[in-house]
Amino acid sequence: MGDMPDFKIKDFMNGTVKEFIADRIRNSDVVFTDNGEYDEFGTEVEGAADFFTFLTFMYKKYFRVDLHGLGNLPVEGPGLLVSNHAPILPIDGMMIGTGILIEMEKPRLIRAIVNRSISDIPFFSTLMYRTGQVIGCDENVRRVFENGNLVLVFPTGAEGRPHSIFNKYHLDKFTLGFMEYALRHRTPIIPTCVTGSEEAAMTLVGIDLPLAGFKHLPLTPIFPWLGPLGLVPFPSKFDIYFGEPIHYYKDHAGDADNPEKVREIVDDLHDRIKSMLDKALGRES
Amino acid sequence: MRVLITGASGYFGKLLVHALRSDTGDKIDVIGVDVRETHTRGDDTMKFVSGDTRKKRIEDLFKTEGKIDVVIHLARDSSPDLSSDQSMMTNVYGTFHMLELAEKYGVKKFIFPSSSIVYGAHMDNPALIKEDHPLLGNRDVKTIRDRIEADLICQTYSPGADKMNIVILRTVPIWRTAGGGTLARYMKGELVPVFLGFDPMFQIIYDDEVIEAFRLATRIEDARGAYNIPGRIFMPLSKVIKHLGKKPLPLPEFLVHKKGQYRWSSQLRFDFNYLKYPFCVDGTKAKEELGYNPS
Repeated sequence: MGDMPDFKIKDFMNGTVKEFIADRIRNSDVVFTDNGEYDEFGTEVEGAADFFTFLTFMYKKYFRVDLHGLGNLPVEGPGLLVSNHAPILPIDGMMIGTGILIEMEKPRLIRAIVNRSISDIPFFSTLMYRTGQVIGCDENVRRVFENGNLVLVFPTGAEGRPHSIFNKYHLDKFTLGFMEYALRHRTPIIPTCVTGSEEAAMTLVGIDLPLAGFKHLPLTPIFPWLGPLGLVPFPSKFDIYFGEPIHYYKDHAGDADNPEKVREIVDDLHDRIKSMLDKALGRES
Repeated sequence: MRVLITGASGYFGKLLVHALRSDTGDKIDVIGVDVRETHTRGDDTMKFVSGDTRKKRIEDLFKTEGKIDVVIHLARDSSPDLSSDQSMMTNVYGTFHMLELAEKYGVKKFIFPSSSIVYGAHMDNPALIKEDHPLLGNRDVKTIRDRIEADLICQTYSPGADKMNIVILRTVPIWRTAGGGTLARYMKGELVPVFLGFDPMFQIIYDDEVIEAFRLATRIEDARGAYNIPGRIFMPLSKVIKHLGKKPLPLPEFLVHKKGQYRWSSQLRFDFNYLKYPFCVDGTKAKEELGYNPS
């Protein structure tokens, strides 16, 4: 584990943690433009530090996240994290990003490929830009792969059926696009799984009622019954597992343009992540 | 080198005429054309002619003024009270007509000022848009529609494509030192309305940077095709507003505009998605091929 000090609650209040985070962002792999304040995706030290300070609080004190297999992440150069995803708020993504930023020896800023509909959601869109997350369009994705960033994708995607607590940790079929990029740009894949995320927001049922950019209106035991308070996630215990990097590009360099082959590789990855997840949850595959 | 500038009495026309005349290196003879009366008197390196780019008579210029090397077509009209058809005639047909004449009379280069608004503000825009991105600006707004159409005509004009270099400069929103322009109409007061919860990255460009881009496009012989021209300012919209000495005022969307009509000034009707989604451009091509470096 890195040099993350053991912060007390008061450190979050008096700016110590924010300073620590800002420092880590400045020393991370983010390349700022000439005037030094923003990178090409709109990452801003000040704005990102504010948000990551809050996330670090959630990470340390609320969800009490444990990282397993941090050594499997590349210290530098490209890497693609492929993870399972719980519905509604991308708390899992935020926790993965926070963990990597504060716990790695040399900090790295993760670039999660997010659904474009995020940019239609007030405040979330701004947070997404300031923390350097990336809208999933070809040009952007090509850029993060070319830059050799640490990229995070949730390939079950927005097309996956809405989860509920009755089918939690069900891993939908993966999309293909991310694998084509990984093969083309010779990027190692780090299979990742997150547990605890689905208990944080227990969706009973998702209603098809688009609101403020969200696709479904989730009904949880407390939302919408308690109003905005109902959006507060439960303090479930999070565990994040990073598997050993898989170098598909070594054996399948020329297969990026062969959709059938890509499907096979993606299905193989799907099975590996599924068994990681089953093992982490202690359930039989 | 002989340069013909249409719209020479306009804001950028005057600045550009001055910049080209005082440019060091090979002497540039400037012929300025405008429909408006001109107040600047010509001399041996400068000539003003009254003319209308939409009219057939403008052809006489090419016959009487001798060989012209470069045409810079600045003439356009974006006044809000212009009818849709008049706007199209000036901004689209005017451009097409000048292109035709330039090609017919062996002009080597045709420079057209476009804008980054032609790409449109969309939720899935890339962080930095490249020149080959489709032009998806909102055609419901006549000024945007005409920019796109003129830009496309310049891109696809083929008869003299091998003899004449067509250069399209897509500048980001311009902040004029002397005031005026769409951006100034939006940022009219001390408080500038923005959308609550949205703060996309934004680019603006200053006069001197715009003029420098045109000067380079005129001078660099191999300049060809579309170029994105960003300025040195690249920050979130709220920071841009503060940078210009004003205060952003976050409001719900319905208090900012009603169906594209700005609530804070009758002089502005636009696509307000430009305040919501990013439409920032990648200036790498202009940097590499023109040597344009605003920072």
